[in-house]
Amino acid sequence: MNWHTIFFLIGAFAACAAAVGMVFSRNMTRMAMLLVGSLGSVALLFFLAGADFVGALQLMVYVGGTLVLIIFGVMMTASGARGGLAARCMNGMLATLAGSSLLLLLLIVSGVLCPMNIDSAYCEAPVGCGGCERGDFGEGGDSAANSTNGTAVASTVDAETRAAQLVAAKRESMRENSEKPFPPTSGALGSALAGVRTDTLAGVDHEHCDAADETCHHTPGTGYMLPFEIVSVHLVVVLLAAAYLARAKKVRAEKQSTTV
Amino acid sequence: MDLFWKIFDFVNQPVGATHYLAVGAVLFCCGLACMIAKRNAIGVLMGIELVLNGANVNFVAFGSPALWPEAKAPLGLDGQIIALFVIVLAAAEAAVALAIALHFYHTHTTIDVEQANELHG
Repeated sequence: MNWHTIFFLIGAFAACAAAVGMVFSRNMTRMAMLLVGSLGSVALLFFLAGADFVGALQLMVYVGGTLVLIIFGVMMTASGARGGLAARCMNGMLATLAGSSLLLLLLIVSGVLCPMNIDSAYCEAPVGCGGCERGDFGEGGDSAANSTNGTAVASTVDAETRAAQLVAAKRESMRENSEKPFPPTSGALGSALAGVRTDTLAGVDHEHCDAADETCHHTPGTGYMLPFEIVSVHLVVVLLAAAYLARAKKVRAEKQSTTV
Repeated sequence: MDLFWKIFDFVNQPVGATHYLAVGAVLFCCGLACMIAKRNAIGVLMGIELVLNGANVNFVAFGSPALWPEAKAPLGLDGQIIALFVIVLAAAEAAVALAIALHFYHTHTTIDVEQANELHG
């Protein structure tokens, strides 16, 4: 339990609580404020994960730009005059069913939950946990306790203590990892968007060759210049379309008023 | 009691990608529930924002070396770049969807999505 974990728990709880509050809130303005809280907490999580530029952009674009747009939309549509629109019973049941079942599925796949009776592959090797062994989530804790008591068979005791030591070493490595200062990522991100990958230039490309192969070092990855240009053009088109839609309604309203 | 100790163990271990995946899953499912249950078009839009943000959390988790043992993240810098693209596309989508919602409100004088049924077959 270090400061990294404490701040992560605060941010994660705030993000999840605000998101759950959004589902049950009927007031649109309150929903927008809860969305601000959720997105801001997620920006804190991004900072904690070492993604400083993405966190800053999340705060500037999402919380500063998109949310202002949405709050203006809430104000201009005035749904609160007749009270909030209540969800239909059928839709509420469907939302509860789909949300909870999908949440259960996602938590099992990501390795957080392990149902007792299902010996799935996800429980053997959780997706997100990298080096974590089964003992982190399943009955490993109990078997480790048994092994210290010396009640189990000697060979299984050895195997289990070795596995427990392995898990402890990996946890220690991740703990040290999280306490290291993160390098800033904005320079590497900027050059990658301009088409040059500086992060893959140094060191070995672990994915495609083994460390002994000297010729396989220094393989620069491809950059993201074309997607960057496509997104730029896409933004221009989208903003033009939004301006056209917002303008067209006035013209049509005038036409309707003149015909009537 | 056993469940309590398991949850305590999950919370107490150093923060890894699994923790981030759990947060992303909760955000995604809340956004999905918002999209299904809300009748206000702007509430549906906020649900979409929440879903995109949950996906973003997953991208950053898979791309951040600080969350993986021996600092070997499967996505590397790609995860953060894709997260940037998702943020920009979400902003564009919000602009267009709000323009459509405003247009709908001005022609129907309501924001209830269930009134948008002119295209029923």
